[in-house]
Parts: sequence; C-alpha cells; structure tokens
Amino acid sequence: MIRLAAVGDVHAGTEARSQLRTQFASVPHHADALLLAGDLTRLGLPEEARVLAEALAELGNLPIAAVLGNHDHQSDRQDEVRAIVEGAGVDVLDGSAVTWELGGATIVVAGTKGFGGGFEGTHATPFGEPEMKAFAEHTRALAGRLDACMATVAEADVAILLLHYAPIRETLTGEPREIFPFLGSYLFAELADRHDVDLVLHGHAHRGSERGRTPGGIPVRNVAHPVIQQGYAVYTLDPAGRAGARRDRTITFAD
Amino acid sequence: MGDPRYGQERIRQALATDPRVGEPELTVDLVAGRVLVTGTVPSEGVRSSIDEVVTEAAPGVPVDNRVTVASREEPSGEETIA
Repeated sequence: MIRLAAVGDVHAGTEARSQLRTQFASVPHHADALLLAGDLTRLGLPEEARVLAEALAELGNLPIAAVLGNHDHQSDRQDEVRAIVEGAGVDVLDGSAVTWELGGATIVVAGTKGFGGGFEGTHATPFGEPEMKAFAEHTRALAGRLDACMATVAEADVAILLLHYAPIRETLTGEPREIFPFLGSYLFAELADRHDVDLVLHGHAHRGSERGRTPGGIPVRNVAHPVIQQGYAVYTLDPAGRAGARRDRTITFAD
Repeated sequence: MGDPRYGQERIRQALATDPRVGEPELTVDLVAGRVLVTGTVPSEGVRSSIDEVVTEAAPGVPVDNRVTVASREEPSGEETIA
C-alpha cells in the first residue's frame, strides 16, 4: 500500500515557525510522500516561503510535491516563493508531473494550480471584454498544459492529480454558490477522467466538503486545512488494485 | 446612513486585503449590532489581528471574533482509496 499525506492552504507565515515544524514533523511516520495542494504561504512572501521550506527540509528524503495557490500570487513574487520551496527539495508542479518509485511501485503526480471558471453547464467562456476572455483563457491554458504532461500517467501504478482550485462542485458543498465560478473549473475533472487517475486532491475551498467524485467516478478530496481539521490527511492506495486495472480498461471519452 | 450590508462587505474586503490578516475566506455577518466573523486562520497572531482590522473598518461597532485557528494535530486515521 502507498500512503500519501496531503494538506492544502497551509498559509505559512513568519508568526507560525514552530507550529509548522510541529505540523509536518510526524509525516514520515504516517506516509511515504507528502502532497501540498497550494496556498503554501499567506501573502506570497519569500520570508513566509522560507519558514515553510525550513519545516519541510527537516523531513529528509521524503518525496514532496506541491502546487502554488492564489495566496502564493498575492505579492507578485510567486517565482521567488517557488524557488525557495524547491530549494527544500519539493517538486513544485505547474502543468508538470513528477515520477517517484515508492515501495516498488511507480507513482506519478501531475499538478497545476488550476483556476476558476465554474462547472459544466455554466462555465465561463472567452467571449466579450478582454478581461473576461483573459479569465476564461487562463483556465483553458492551464488545462492544456496539464493535459500535455499527463502521458506518463498511463504507465503509473498510482496516479494522482494535484490541484489548488476545485475540479468539481461536490467538494464545494458549504461554500456560497455565488462564488463557485471563482473556486474551480470542471476542465480539470475532465482531465482526471480522460487520463483515469486514481485520486484528485485540491484545496482552496475552506468552507467546502472533503469528499466527492468526478463525473467519471474518480475520487476527489478537498484537503484544505480548515476542511480536514488536522495537520494533514492520509490516503492509502493499492498499486495492485484499481490502478493495476487501468491498463486493461478501455476508456471511452467524448471529446 | 448607508445600508449596513455595504459596511459588512467593506469589512470583508478589509480582512481579505489588509496584510495583517490577508484571508478572503472569512465570513462576515452583522448580528444584533455586532460584527460576527467566522472561519479558520493559520495562527493565533492572525486571529487576534482580525479585531484590529474590523475595528478600523467599522469604528465603534463591537466585534464578535469566533474565528478558529487551524488544527495542526497528527491525523487520527487514514482513508483507503478504492
């Protein structure tokens, strides 16, 4: 069994240095890898990223992957935040994927921040004002880049899609419906189904719900820190189980 | 005198953008003449800054700060994904 620890929306700040160390110190006892679903920092400042990097560096060789979130862009210094976290050995995914060998199994984690737009039936369209086109096209561009990096998923024993924004409505239950278009986009659920990953993790929706599924049945977990109400959640996956069946299953998908 | 809902939203905007808090995910309600703030923040320092920011945005209005600090405890169990 592969054990994955996951949490989003850590919102690291300089005022919480010791608390962050406490939060992550036990991860190697519970999991084989750690996944961070965006909003690594509170205001997107390098000094906040350094506090998180110090806590993560203490985890030794534990594989860690992350995506950035909207908070990490707040100060327009996301490239510095990313570089500092990568300096602690974290794979920061941005329309990219990382492959790990864990316990004899091949694990692929594909990731992107994601963005808004909404969900099937009411998704934003690139029509009208330049600002509206930019909003809708940003999401489409991120989904396109993610799609292109997911070819490695087909050969994985376990495949994870790591996001910050939500891919489905179900894990937003508890949030005001008026803000759903700012909380996620169905385009990423569509990719999860198309590539038949084993689990989708996201954050961002603090008032949302932990559990849901894509229209194709892929489990989705909202691991936003306020939702899981603990330092991190742990999910176990059997490389010989559902993932092993992926190669034998014919996926039909209407483009 | 404006509608109190405009003031309510001004407070919410302040909690999102003031760097002492920086949390757009907080909920602001007006209840019995008080500003009720709920949600979760990452630290006690941020939680206590909420009172300052609300008081500056709505001087003289009592603040009912029911925001909690996110738990950092070890997980109590694990879920098998099937």
